[in-house]
Amino acid sequence: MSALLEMTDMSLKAGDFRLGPLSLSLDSGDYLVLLGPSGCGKTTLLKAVAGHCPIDSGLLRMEGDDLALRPPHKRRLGYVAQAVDLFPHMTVAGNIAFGLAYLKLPRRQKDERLHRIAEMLALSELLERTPGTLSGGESKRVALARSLVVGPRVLLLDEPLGMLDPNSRADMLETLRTIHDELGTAAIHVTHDREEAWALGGKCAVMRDGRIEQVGPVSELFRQPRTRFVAEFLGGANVLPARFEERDGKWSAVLDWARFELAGPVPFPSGYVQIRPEGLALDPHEGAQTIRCAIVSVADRGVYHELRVRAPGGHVLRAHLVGGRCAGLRPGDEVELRLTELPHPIKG
Amino acid sequence: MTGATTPTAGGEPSAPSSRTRVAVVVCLLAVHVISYSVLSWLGVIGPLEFLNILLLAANFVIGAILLRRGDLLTGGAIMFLVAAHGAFGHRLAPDALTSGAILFVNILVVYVGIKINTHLATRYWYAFVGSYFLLFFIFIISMKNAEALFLLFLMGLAATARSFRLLAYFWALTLSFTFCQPYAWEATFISFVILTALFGARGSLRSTTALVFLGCGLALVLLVLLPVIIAMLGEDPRNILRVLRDARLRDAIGTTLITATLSTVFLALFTVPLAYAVSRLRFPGRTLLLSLIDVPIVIPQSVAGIALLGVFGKQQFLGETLFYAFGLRFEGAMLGICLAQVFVAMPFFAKSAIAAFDAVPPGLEMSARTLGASGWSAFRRVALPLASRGVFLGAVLAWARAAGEFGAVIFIAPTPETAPVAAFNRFNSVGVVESGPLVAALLLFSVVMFFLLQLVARSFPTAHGATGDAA
Repeated sequence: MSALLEMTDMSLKAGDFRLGPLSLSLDSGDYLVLLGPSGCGKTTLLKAVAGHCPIDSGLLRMEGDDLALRPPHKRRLGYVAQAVDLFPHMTVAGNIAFGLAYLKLPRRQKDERLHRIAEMLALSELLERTPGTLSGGESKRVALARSLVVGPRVLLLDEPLGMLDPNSRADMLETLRTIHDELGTAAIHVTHDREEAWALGGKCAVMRDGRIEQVGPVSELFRQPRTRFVAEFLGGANVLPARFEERDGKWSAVLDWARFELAGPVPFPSGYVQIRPEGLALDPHEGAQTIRCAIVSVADRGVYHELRVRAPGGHVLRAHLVGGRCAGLRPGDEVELRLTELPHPIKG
Repeated sequence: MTGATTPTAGGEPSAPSSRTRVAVVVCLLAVHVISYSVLSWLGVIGPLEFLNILLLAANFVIGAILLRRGDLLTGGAIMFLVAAHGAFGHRLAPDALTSGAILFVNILVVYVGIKINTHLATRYWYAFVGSYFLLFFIFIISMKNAEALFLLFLMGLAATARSFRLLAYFWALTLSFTFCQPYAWEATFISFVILTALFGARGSLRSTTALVFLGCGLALVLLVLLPVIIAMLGEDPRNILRVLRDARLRDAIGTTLITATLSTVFLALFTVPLAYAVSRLRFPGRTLLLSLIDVPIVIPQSVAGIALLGVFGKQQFLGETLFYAFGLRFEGAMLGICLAQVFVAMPFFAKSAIAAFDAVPPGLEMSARTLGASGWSAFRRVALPLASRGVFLGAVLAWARAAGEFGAVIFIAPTPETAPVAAFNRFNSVGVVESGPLVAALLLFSVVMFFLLQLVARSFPTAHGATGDAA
């Protein structure tokens, strides 16, 4: 089965920025969260798909046909830009109906579509308003409705939760989830906020410097990052340089100052181990792997305490600890931290 | 009459009024009215002299009341004034009425001064005292004892000193009428416009520098327009109407309307697409093209007219060819007028249209494209409507420039006469005074047309709503 949207070794140059070559595919019904730091090329990627940036090499196909040959208005995509860009000279209804003018449909069906989408996005009350009078969240919903009403094959969302206050963010997140559940439109959701990846679940791709680092379910990316960047960016994990060796059929990571057991065989001799902040706990018991370290700082985060500790090798680790005992910890204290999960090896 | 108002005015210091003080004032008034009537009916005493004594007595009583209430400053000041007035002022003034008026104004000024000093920021007090001495300097020293005027303006000062805005208007009026004769009213008008703008100015930034710049700019603009205002309003309306009935002038205005409109339409057909392209595309030679658009502004119009004649004139190759091939005649014809107008008006239209398209965020068109709009459709439904106000304003400027063009037009087509050419011809034949009504009529015509078109332009949408919302 061929994918809905398929990028194969796609690359392009926009000014000084070079995107790709990268490969990425999207099946129908997928909701892909494209995650990466600012300036890594997420927006450029969306623009390339939408047809606003011509690609230099590689393939960009949708449902089997070459998208690069089609002008933007013949790609049947929905693109919601990061900045609010509603047409200020039209009402909300006019904005939503903009794309309907290009569909060969009877007038009654167009009206029907307009009202159905407006109802779905809770815009029915706002149809006669002008864009200038809308709040940030409302504007975003109108922009979304405008793209959805024409029935796009893929929805391209550029930071749809950016520049919204926390309440509107939660509403918008719920809206996006509802839309995906009800319409099943495939979507690429670009963001630099890893929380959104968690909230929206599904597939996730991490981007860095114009390239895709890793694609997969978000939990996999979180627990088994393939590169150091993914580990640090997605999980905020502690990443330490290590060698990997086998002894009596058991694999372990060897650090200058410690030795950690690993889950399974490692195909590369050296690299890094990931120790997640949540994977550390206070209560050591017999046979558990532990790290002795000195506390650098303690911060109460409500649900957990965030500790910065200095490990024997001089590395500063972050640990998220739960439980009443944390309250008594002071900088300078010596603690013994237990590893609650096995460290994950990463290729160097 | 001064006597009748004085006790009430003098009674103000005890402002947080209790019944006894009101009673005192009413009694004084009543006693004054009765005594005044009786004594003047009997002819015993000069009425004004009596009035003055009464005024002194009334103020003495008020001063005493204030001192008893513990208001040492106001009460003491009034007592001092009364004493000084009784001792010297009475003898210095030419007559009893003036003497009373001086006392009244002095008390008023002292009272206001004390109020300002105790209730407002110190800078109001400095402004008040400074204004007092400036008035004194202007009317007593510089204008050689114009006491009556001094007192009059002093009352104005007392009335306005508690607000800088009012004080500014007061000084604008005062200075206009003392130093700007015979254009006192014009000066007052101009300064009031400037002050209203300055005190009404609101902005994101509280910057005194910007306010000073605004004042200077407004002053320059209004001074530049002064001759226009005088020429337009200084003419007798009947003369203007008579000129408007003149067939020759009507023809000239008709020619102007037709040619300017034709030129503007022609320009619109070419400059709007050009502006859109220049605004959306980056191409080799773009900067050069932008400079080339400005060339007609730097060329003197007479030079442009001669140059056009040199190409499209009857004896010239191109002019001759066009005439024999297509029957197009430029020299001394409407087409020639249009040609000259298009030449001089082009930069105004193009510049304005480019700025208008630049103000439309390209992201809007991108969105339109993904929604299914072709390039042309995105231009027609998004870019053009949002740029329409700027484009229309460009058209208005171009139209105005075309209608007002003289230099280039008179070389290529001295006939048929356009309005500016008609004004020139009239001036040449009858001189500056006699061409006044015609000048006023053309001025009125141009200004009215210009403002009407500007007003229409306001109904067009702009792209500001789009960008302002994003933040």
